[in-house]
Amino acid sequence: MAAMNYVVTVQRPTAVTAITTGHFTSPTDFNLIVAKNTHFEIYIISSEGLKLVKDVCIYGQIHILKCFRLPNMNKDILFIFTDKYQGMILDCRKTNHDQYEILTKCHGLLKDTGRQTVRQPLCTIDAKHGLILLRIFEGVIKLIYLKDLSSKESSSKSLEAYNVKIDEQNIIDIQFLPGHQKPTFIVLHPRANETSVINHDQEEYHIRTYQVELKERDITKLIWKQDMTLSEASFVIPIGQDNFSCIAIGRNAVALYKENDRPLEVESSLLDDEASIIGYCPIDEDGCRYLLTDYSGKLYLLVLERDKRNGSSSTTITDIKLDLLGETSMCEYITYLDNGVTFIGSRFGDSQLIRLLPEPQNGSHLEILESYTNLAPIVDMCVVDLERQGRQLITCSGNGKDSSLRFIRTGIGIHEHASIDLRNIKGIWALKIDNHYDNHLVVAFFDQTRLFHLQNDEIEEVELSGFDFQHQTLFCANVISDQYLQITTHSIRLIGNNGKDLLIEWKNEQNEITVGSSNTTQCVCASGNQLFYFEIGRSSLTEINKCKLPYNIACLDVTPLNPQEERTSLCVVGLWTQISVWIYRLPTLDVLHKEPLTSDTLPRSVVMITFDSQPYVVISLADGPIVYYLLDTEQGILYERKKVSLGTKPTTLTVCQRTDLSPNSTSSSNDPSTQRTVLFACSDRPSVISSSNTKLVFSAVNLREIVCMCSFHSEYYGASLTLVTDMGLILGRIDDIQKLHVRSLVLGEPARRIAFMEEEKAYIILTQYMDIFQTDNITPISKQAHQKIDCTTTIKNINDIIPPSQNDVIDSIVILDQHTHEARVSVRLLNREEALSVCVITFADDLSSSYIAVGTAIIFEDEDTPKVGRVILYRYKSGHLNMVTEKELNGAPHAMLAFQGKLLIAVGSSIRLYKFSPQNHELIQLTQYLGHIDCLQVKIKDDFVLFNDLMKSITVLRYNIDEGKFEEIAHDVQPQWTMACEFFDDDTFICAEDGGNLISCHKDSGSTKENERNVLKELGLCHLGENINVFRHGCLVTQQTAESSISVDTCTLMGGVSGYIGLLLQLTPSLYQLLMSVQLALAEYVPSVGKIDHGTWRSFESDGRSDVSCGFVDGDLIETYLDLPKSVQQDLIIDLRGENNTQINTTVEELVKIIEELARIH
Amino acid sequence: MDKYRVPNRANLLRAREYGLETSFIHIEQTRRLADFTLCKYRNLTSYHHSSISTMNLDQSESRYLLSGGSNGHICCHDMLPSSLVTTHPIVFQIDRNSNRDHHTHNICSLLWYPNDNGLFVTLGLDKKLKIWDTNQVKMVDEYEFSNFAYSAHMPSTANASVIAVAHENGDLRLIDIRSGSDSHVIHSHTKKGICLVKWFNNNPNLLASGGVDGRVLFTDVRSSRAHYMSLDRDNILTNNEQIKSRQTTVSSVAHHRGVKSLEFLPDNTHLLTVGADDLMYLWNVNNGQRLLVNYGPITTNNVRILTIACAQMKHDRTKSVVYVPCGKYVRVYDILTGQRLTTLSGHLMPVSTCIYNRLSVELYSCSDDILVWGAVKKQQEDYEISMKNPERRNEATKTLAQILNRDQWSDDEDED
Repeated sequence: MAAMNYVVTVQRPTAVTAITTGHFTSPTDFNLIVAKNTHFEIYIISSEGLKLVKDVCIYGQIHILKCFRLPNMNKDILFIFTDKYQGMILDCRKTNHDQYEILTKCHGLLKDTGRQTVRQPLCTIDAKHGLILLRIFEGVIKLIYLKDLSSKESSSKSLEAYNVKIDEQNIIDIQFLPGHQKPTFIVLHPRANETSVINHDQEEYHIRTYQVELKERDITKLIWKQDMTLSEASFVIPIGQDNFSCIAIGRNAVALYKENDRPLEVESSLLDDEASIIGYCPIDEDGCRYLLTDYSGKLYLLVLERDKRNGSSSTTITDIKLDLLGETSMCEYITYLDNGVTFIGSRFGDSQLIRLLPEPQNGSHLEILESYTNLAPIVDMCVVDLERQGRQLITCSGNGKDSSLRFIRTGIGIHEHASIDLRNIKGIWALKIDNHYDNHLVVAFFDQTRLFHLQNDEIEEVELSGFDFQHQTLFCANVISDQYLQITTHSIRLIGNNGKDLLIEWKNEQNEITVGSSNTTQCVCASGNQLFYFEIGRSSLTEINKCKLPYNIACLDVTPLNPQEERTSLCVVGLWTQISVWIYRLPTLDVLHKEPLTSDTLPRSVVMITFDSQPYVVISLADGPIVYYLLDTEQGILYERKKVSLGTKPTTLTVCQRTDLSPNSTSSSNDPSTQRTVLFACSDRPSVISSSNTKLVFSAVNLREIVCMCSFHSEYYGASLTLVTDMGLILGRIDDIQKLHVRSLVLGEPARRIAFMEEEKAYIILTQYMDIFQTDNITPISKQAHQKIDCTTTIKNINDIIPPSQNDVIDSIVILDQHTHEARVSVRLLNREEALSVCVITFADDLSSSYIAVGTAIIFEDEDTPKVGRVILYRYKSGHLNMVTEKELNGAPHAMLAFQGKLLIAVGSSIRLYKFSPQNHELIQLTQYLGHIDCLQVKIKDDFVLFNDLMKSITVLRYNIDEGKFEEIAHDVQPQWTMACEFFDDDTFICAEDGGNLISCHKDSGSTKENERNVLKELGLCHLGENINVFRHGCLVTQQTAESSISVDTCTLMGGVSGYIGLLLQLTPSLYQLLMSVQLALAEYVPSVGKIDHGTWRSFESDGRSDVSCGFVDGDLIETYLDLPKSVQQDLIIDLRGENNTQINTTVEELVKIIEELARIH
Repeated sequence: MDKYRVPNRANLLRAREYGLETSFIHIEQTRRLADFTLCKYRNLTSYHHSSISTMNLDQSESRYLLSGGSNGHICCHDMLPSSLVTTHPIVFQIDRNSNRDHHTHNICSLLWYPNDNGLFVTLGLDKKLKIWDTNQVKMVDEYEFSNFAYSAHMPSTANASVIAVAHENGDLRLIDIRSGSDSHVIHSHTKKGICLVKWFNNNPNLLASGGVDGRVLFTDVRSSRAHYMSLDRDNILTNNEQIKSRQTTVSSVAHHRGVKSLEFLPDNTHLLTVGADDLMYLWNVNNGQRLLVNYGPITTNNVRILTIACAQMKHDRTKSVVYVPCGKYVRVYDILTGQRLTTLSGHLMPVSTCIYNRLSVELYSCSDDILVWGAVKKQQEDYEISMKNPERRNEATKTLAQILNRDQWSDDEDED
């Protein structure tokens, strides 16, 4: 059966879902801990900024994250509560290797039966009494008693939790009041008691105080309670020690309440009806100043002014003031770090690190220090193939003013500093002439060589007399004693005196030199089949040895394996004809090893390199692939061959130091002092080869083709690279080695749908502008367009109902240029008309041009579902947009697609097919299929149509061309609240469910029973923990490995609400069996943070239905296999059992190879 | 009705895409909840020839509907797929022709085992309680009593194995199906007998029982006391200081006449009771207070046990609906206000049981036949229009003829 899927994370969630600060990693470190749905990141705060030290994945969605310190401990611990009611207390320990280890101190399942709350779970911690208070279910409060956690023992205890009844329903906030003898807490809730359930008045809020009787495990009501008249109260902040006072924050009100005192309310013009406060954090310990954030991203400062007349102990607050500081991303999570630096954690925009300024600059009291990319929420996305540069994923991300389009690519980006127009370059080398930095470039052409001098950002050609410019240079380098070695086809030249004098020249009289290489003290060169070995001294170039090989030498290398050393005792040589690599001992030129390459094409370049203290020999072949071996330096023996195909053209390998690539790797977790070496493979698919956890990682570089390159550490640009392309020479800096590269285009209004129009090289986006998104510094994209059009309609039903007045919501269709990202055209839709779907279509009846179809609906808030909508058809050609026709619909067009030259629209509960009549300029409905409630998404494959319903799962239709009708093929009978669906293949379908689950369905078309044929079998169920909005076929990586056993054809990308991007892949049955059994073994071995069982985490759980996970291999877990020590890898596969308990035999090498391939596709 | 209005679906979908709406399912369920209409094109393969006395839907998949007739026949329908036009097949049946262990008298109670649907329990007026293996449709255990029993119930919490049986003589019998012991008997009600027994939703040790004497008792089965609370209709929850609510006493009566229905709300804190005095009361189970909600008279003539169905939105308990069989009609009330939202009419005989299917958001009711109610008004209209469409007529003649021959039920017609 075909439920054999592999699901893996491409991009972890980026939306911030909780933040906390504390001394978590050590008593001296101050940490910021940021939870992003299923993982949390630990940063160390230092004077240089934030440094990411650890990223921890949790088997669960983090709902609560709080750092606290128990009285008897010297550092903080962390409490986490997940969506599946798992609670845990974590500690962090620094290990010997500067790594941080997360220890689970306590854990437990805190689930009860009961009515779930509307709001997120609430939590407050009284560290003094060792008490955590949780509210998960209505009417019940959970008390968690913390025992002594300071013990060093590693085993985790279970959480000690008790349920206590509480009368207050629908609690909004709950906080401990500090400093009381017994733990005392305050509860904010609407409505007084149960009788008023009937006459519910939402505007009434109350606070109540309770005291916890620790021994009795119960709570008792205290006297202080307060009614308040705030609008939509949402937070209480306890004030002071050992008294009953608090600040309550409403949507647009802030007030201070105190026992036996009248409330003090903030009166400020800032708190008008538009304001909507959604987050707060205290600034100082004594609780005098607070930062507040509102829904539009404004940051306020709240100051409590105190009267300090009668000593420090009993201060009374006399006044509260509110000031506007400036504007940030929209944020609910804010925390003050230190020295005016504040972290803004956003769900809808980039998270930011800001500094509060005492004096305003440009009208703002804040300065943005750093931004952290956030893709969430991914509402729609499309995959676009770029010519020869891989693929790009464009996501509609963010909401409100922080909305953007994100252009996502894998690989490494180049930041261009300068470029020189030089063609036909054969080779390039950097030289330090009379300088500590690289300042000269030796550029080799066929039959000549040129030398360039770079001073600051100026470049000039120079001729230094010591150099030979008449021949093609084969190699050039700085060597010892400030000398330069130039190997040309003609001779080897040792040059001194800053390039002015030729010290020694060695010529091979009979033949031209074909290849050469050197390090600072040793030099080898080859002429035909002759190999020469020289040692370089001060003004001396001594021929030590030479030998003759049976065939011509294609390439050679003497790079020292240890970058700190000046010499090597090994030389590798690649041969023509008998295609092989030979290892020579230096200086004797004894052959140590001959390794046949089993290839038809000759080796093009060969390199010895050490990655993670493991020496490798990497050989590139002339038709593109790369072969690499592990090298035994003692014996000179090559072993463990691996092959990876990169490009299709000859590949040149160049060694660079990692520090050359990223001079200021601030966000990288690597210690910059450890020099990491990388290998640059220049070809038509340029790649950077680096090592991660002792496996080689091939990262594509976002350039079309690189002929050759060298690193260039200049004084002016810093560490950079010179890259030679067929267009010329680029001097640039290279990005960190990072998987995904995200560029963003700020829109200023949310984009809901995106489509790509190939012919016009344009993106079409549907946007919605609301007045509340208005800010001073961003102009919404629809208002930036060169051409602005107002859309009208001739449909009577629509004209009758649309309000004539200006609306605060404006929907637009915007056409963006693919390259410049400028808005070319924007179309403003009618009042109350919202654009819901878009597609680019070429009609079968009019192949001459392609059209843009946009589906809209007129939406009134007081209607159940949209009653009327329309399809608008535009022709867009060479920058001109013309409305061709429109067609009235009696429902909301949730999705549309081009299907066999016709327009397929999901309108309300039906699937309709329209054809275009070019004569009458009219859309004509051909047929329709009545579905269930609301067809949300529709997908096509050949003549099959797949759609997902609001609550009735997925259905497969077939379009019968002869009869022009849809026939229902099969449907999933389970009621399923779906979000998105996609085809895997003809018989397998995938759908994402509202509770963060994935379901894969199989169609049994071969069955003889009719009722089996038309029912989809749910064969795969899996909890992803992410709400998937969109599936798109494709993957970001083009197939790399020639001998790969994994086909990327079925790859499907998925984008989620939390900014998660995942990849789905179909596996072969045997591979599925193998990986599933490895997964089971791994799930048992790999320690999970919080002791959550992997099976529990992945088990399907939706409202009213739960099932074990099946049919999905968890790629994130599988890929941790690669990081395990070899002995463990071996242990894990000893007794693998597949289906029916059959033994599965595999070796570590085979398994590693498979998993590495899987890891490479994302 | 206004309370069950929810935001426009297009806006809700948009909010869900941006992660701004976490209660999407509940809100959409709310939209459907109060808008039920008869599913005209959904039939259950007909089976029962006598009137149907009780039904039960399995809890693990909300898919298999057991129905028991007054002649002792039992049948199970598969209620999926819940498409607009469908005929639900019979999965299995237990009657004289197919099973020698069949019941010979009226079926009083049908119970699915709460944890999985591999097991179900039937109770008949032949004084027998039988336990069946679903997969083989084979009786695995049988208990025979000396007294009539009208009602049996099992706790829905995990690992529960105790069936409570309400006997005519006032005894509560507890049967542990793991050990097979049926000797634990609690003499809770007076000789007038018990009609009904229901376990608490969230506690496997507490149960409520309703008697012919109109008393509703809460019993802790661990305790030696016969009951720990007896509901009193004069114990009223009110804000009015002048009314002194009466405390529970030995003589407390919940209804003036016999109790016909007991149903716990999904929020675990409220209980609905219907009495032969034609009243329905809402109680707080924690303190036994009656909430002042007036549902108006509910005629319960002739039906011994009514099964009412409650639907409550998890995210907002003010949105709770109860479906009450009332003569030939099913009335829909808002639980917390007592407002009658609508009346579902379609049955020709008095309705005895309503069952709400939470997953499919639909209602099943039975009298002499089983009807399905769902929020399908618009879909049915669309379907009817498409059937009248000339383009389709040829292929649809047969179905159309069938449709035209059917009675046209209306659902908004009130009996008053």
